[in-house]
Amino acid sequence: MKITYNWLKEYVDFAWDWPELVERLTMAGLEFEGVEDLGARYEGVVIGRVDSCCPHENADRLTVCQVDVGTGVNTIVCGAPNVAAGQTVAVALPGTTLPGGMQIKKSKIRGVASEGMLCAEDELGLGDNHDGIVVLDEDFSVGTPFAAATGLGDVVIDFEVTPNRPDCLSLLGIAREVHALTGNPLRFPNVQVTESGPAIAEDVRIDIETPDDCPRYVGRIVRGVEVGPSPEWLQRRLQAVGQRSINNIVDISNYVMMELGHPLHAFVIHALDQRRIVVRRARAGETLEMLDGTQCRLDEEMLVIADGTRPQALAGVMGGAHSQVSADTTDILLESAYFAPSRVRLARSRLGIFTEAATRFERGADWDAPVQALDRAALLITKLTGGEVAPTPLDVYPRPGQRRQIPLCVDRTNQLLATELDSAAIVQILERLGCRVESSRPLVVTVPSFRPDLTRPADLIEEVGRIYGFDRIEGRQEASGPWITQHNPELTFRQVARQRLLGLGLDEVVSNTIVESRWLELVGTADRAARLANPPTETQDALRTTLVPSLLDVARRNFNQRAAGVAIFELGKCFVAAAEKGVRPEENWHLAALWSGRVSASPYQADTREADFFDLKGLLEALVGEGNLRFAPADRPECRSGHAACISLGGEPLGWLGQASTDLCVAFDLERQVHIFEISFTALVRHWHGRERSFTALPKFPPIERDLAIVVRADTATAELIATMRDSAPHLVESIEVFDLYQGDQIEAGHKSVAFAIRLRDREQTLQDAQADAATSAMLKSLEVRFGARLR
Amino acid sequence: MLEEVRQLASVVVAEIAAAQDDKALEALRVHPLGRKSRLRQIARQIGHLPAAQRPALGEATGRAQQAIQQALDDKALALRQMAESASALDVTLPGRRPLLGCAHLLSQLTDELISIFQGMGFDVADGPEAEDEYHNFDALNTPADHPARDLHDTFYLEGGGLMRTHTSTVQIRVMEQTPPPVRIISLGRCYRKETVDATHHFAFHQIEGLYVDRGVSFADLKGTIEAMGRQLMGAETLVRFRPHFFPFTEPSVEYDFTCICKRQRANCSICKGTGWIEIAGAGMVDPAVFTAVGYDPDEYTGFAFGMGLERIAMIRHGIDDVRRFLENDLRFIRQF
Ligand SMILES: [Zn+2]
Repeated sequence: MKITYNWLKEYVDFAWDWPELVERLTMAGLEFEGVEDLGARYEGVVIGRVDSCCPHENADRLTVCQVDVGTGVNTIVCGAPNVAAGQTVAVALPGTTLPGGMQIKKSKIRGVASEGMLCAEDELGLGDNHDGIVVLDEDFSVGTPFAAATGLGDVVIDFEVTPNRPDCLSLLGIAREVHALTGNPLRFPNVQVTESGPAIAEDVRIDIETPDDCPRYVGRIVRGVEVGPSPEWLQRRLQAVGQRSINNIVDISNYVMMELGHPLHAFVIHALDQRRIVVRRARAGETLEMLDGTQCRLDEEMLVIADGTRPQALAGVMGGAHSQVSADTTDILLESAYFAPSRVRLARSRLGIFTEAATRFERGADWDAPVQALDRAALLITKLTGGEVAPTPLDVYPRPGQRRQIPLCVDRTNQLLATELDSAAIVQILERLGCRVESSRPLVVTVPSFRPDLTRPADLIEEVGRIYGFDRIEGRQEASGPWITQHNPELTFRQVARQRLLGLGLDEVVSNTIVESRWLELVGTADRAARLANPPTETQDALRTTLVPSLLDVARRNFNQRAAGVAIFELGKCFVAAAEKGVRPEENWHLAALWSGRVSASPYQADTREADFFDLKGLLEALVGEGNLRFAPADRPECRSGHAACISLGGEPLGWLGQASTDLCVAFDLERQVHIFEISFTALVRHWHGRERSFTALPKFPPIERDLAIVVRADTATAELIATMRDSAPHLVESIEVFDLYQGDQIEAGHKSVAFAIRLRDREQTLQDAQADAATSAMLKSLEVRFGARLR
Repeated sequence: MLEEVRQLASVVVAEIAAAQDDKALEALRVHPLGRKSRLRQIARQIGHLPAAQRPALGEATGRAQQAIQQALDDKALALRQMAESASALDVTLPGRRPLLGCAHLLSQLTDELISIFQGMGFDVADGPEAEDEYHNFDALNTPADHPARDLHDTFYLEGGGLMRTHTSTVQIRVMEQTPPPVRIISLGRCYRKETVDATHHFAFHQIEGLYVDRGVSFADLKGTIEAMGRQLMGAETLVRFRPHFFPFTEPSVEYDFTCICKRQRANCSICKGTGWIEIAGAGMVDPAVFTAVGYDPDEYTGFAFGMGLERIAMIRHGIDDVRRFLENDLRFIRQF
C-alpha cells in the first residue's frame, strides 16, 4: 500500500517528518517497504520573484529580468512572452538538472550574463505546455525550494499490509492509525452531494438473488458526465500511489478506493439490458469479456453482476468490457457494494486475477462504507466532469451488518501483556481505534465496521498492546513454569554419534530430502518413494528413501572441485510411502557414510592408500563398538558383487556396508572406488547403552598370550574361525585378534594362512602355562574338525 | 712439588678442553700413566711430607682435582650438546595430521540453539516433515479459505498430505500429546514452493519454541527472545518487537535484532542502514489453537516463536547465498 506524506496530512495532523512517520507506523504494525522522494527531481529549483523586466538590447524576443531568489538578486535572460515584473516564478539556479534533462549553467545570452532560468511547465515535467513560464501563487515565499512550496516535493511511502488488516489499504485507514497513535482528530473527506434530476428508482432496478454472497448493493446514477482525461493533480496522485490513469470516471473511482478503501465500479447505464442490475451466481457456460480484454469462463460458484440477460462484471473482482465507461459515455451507474470475502476469493483464485478491488473484498471490506464512498465519488465526478447526481442512492441491503460486541476483561489484558493499564487507558486506546466502549466489568467493546479482524477478546488485547507499544513492555527473565527437561536419549545419541564420526575424520553434510526419482531407481527403491504432486522441478519429485544417492552426489561435486579424498556422513530423515492412501509417509532417521580417495589428510610421510572396505568397516566398529556387530556377505543392488556386507546388531538388522557398484559410480561420474555404509539410526539407538552400562571389575590376575597361525580354505569366514576358537575355551579367552593374513606361493592354492594373537586369562586365579597350552590345543582341534585347518 | 701440581692442573685442563669426543675424554679421565694419575700419586705422598709443607700442598692438589673435575663435566656436556644438535629436528616440517571432520554449519547452529534453550528449561521435541493439512494449517487457525494460506506455497504429496511449511506443526503435535504446562523447542526442515535463488530455497530449517502455562505473558516472550538474541549474536544485542500477523498467535509480532554493524554504516548491506535486522515471528498462542488441542484458553496462556536457521547463519557469518547450505561443498563446510 503506497501513500504520500502530504496526501495523508489531508486526513489527520501529525508533527512527524516522514522518517518518524515510518518509524511510528512500523512500530504499530505496518511494515516499511520503501520510499520515493518525488521532490528530489526539483533540487536546485527555488521560488523567485521578478523584480523588474526590460527588453534585451540585442534581441527582440528576450527579456532581461532581475529576479529575487532569496539568496540575492540574479540577472536572468528569459524568452517567454508572458514574463512580467511582480510575478512569482520557478527559478532553476545554475548547476541544476531539470526533470526533462535540461542542464542549467551560467551563460552569456547575446552579451548579457544570465544566472539561471525561469521554468515553463514542460521543463519542470509538469505537462506539455511551453507557451510561457509557470506563474505561481504570490503567497509562496521567495527562496524556498520549489518542491516544498508547491507540494510537489511529496514523499511516497510504501507499506506492506498484513492480510488481517484490509482497513489499512487506504489513506483514511492509515490516517486512522495515526489518529490512534496521536489522538489528533480525523478529517473525513467531504461527501455532501447535491442531487437533481429524476430519481434513480425510475431509471434502474437492482435485485440481489443470493444475499449471503452480497449482503449489500448500493447504486447511484450520475447523468451528463463528460468523460475525458483527469486533471493534473488527480493523475499525479494516482501515479504516485501506483495507479494508472485511464479516464476521469475510472480515475475517480480508483481515487476514492485509495482514499477510503472501498472499491467502486461504474457501469454505462444504456449498456445494461432492461436497465437492471442482478447480483447472482453465474450460470453454467456463461462467459464474460473483462475490462482487460480477457475472456473468462464462469462457473456456478462465481458471483456476477448481471443485467437483465448476461453478466456485466465479476463481482468484486473486475468489470466487463461491454458496460465499461468510454469517451462517449454520458450516464453512469456507480456500484458500491459489500461482497462476501470467500466468494470473491474463490472467483479470484480460480480465474487467477489479481485486482486492487478483489484484494480489499476478499480480506473484508467495510460493510458500512458503501454509501459514503459512493457519495464521495459522485461529488468528485460532478466537480470534475460536470454531470448531475440523481436523487438518493439505491441501497439494497438484505443482510444488514451488525457491529460486533466483545467483552474485554481488564485484568486478563494486563496479565497477557504484562502491563498495568487501568480501565480508562484501555478505553482510550480502543476508542481511538474507532470502538465504542461501555465502561462496565468486563468492558463491552463495540468494534467498528471496518475492522473485520476484531472478533474475540484476544484480538482486542492485541490492539491494546500494539497501540500502547510492545517496546514499552519489559522483557522478563525470571524462572517460572516447568524447569526440568526430560532426558532425551535419541537426541543425546544423535549428538554423540555425530561427534564420534567427526572425531573419526568424516565431514558432516546436510543434503536435500527432495531428490530426483532417477536417483532412487538407481538404488532400486523408487517404488517405495513418496512423491510430490507439485514438485520444485520436473525431475526432482521424490522424497529420499536413502541417503546414498545424495552422498554420491556430494562426492561428485567435491571431486569435481579436485578434492583428494571425500569422507562424509549424513544423519538425516528418509521417507517411505505408506501403502494406504491418505496416510503420512513413514519417516526414519538414517546414518550413512561415504569414503573415497586418500585416507590421509596430509601428504607428508603419510598413508597414501585409497580408502577401502576395511577403513569404513573399522570406522563403523569404532562408532558402534565391535561387540555385537555382525557382518555377513550380501548381494545388494547398489554394491559391487562380493564387496558388500549386511550388518546386524544384537541380532537386529542394522544396514549394510559395501563398495558402490560400477553402474552407480558411472551414474555419478565417480572414477575412484567408493565405499558406503547406511544404517538405521533408529535401530542403532535401540542398542545404544549410554547410561545403562554397568561396571565390570578389573582383572586381578595376569594374562597369557599365545599366537596361532593356521591354514584353511580361502573362502572360510574369519569371524567363524574366531567364534569357534572362543567356543573352545569360553572362560579363558579374553580377546582374539587377527594379526596376519597370507595367500601365496608358500601355501597350497585355494587356501590362506591366518595368524591370531590370543590373550587368555583366568579371572579367578593365575593362569598356568599348561592350561594355556591346553586351551590353544583345544582351539586348534576344533578348527581342524570344523574347517580342516592345520597348523602352519 | 707445589709448582708441579699447579702446572699439572693447567696442562690437564687444557688437554680436556682439546678432547674431540667422548672416547678421548674418557681416556684422559682414567689413563693410569696420565697426568691425572700423577696428581693422585702426589696426593698420596702428602702424608709423608714434613708437617709444615702439608697444608699448602694439600690445598693445591684439592684445587687442582676440583678444576680437573669441572673441566671434565663441562667438556662432557659440551660434547653431548654437540652430538644432539647434529641430529636436530626441523620443527617447521608439517605435522602428521589425522583427519578431523567438520560439522555442518546448520548442525552446529542446531546444537547451539538446543544448548541455549535447554539452559532455559526447554525440552526438544521432534515432529514429522511430511504432514497433514490439519496439523500444518487447520489446527493453527488457518482454515482452507483463510487469506493467510496465500503466504505459503505448499508442496503437496501424491495421495494426500503435504510437506510442512513451518515447524509450528510440532506445537500442535506436542500439545495433543501432553497436558500443560509445556515448554519445548523443535528444530527441523520445512518446505515452501519457492524459486531457488541466492535468498530463497524450497527447503530450509527452522526452530520453533512454545511455552504454555498459567500466567505466561508477553513479557516472558520478550525475555526469552532477548536471551536468545544475546546468546546467539552477542551480549550487546537488542531486540525490537513490531506488531505483525500470524493466524496462530494473537498478539503477533515480528522481532528484529540490532545489526552487527551497530548502525555505524549507512550503506550496511544487511540492515540497509536502519540498524535492525528482521529475524522472525512470534506471539502469544491464539486461543483458537488451544481450543484445537483441547487446552482451556481461559486457564492457560502461552507464547510461540519461530526462526529460520539459514537466515541467522547468513547474518552471523556473512554468507551471501542460501544455496550453499544444501550443496555441501566441503570447502564451505570446513570454514566453520
Ligand atoms: Zn547493519
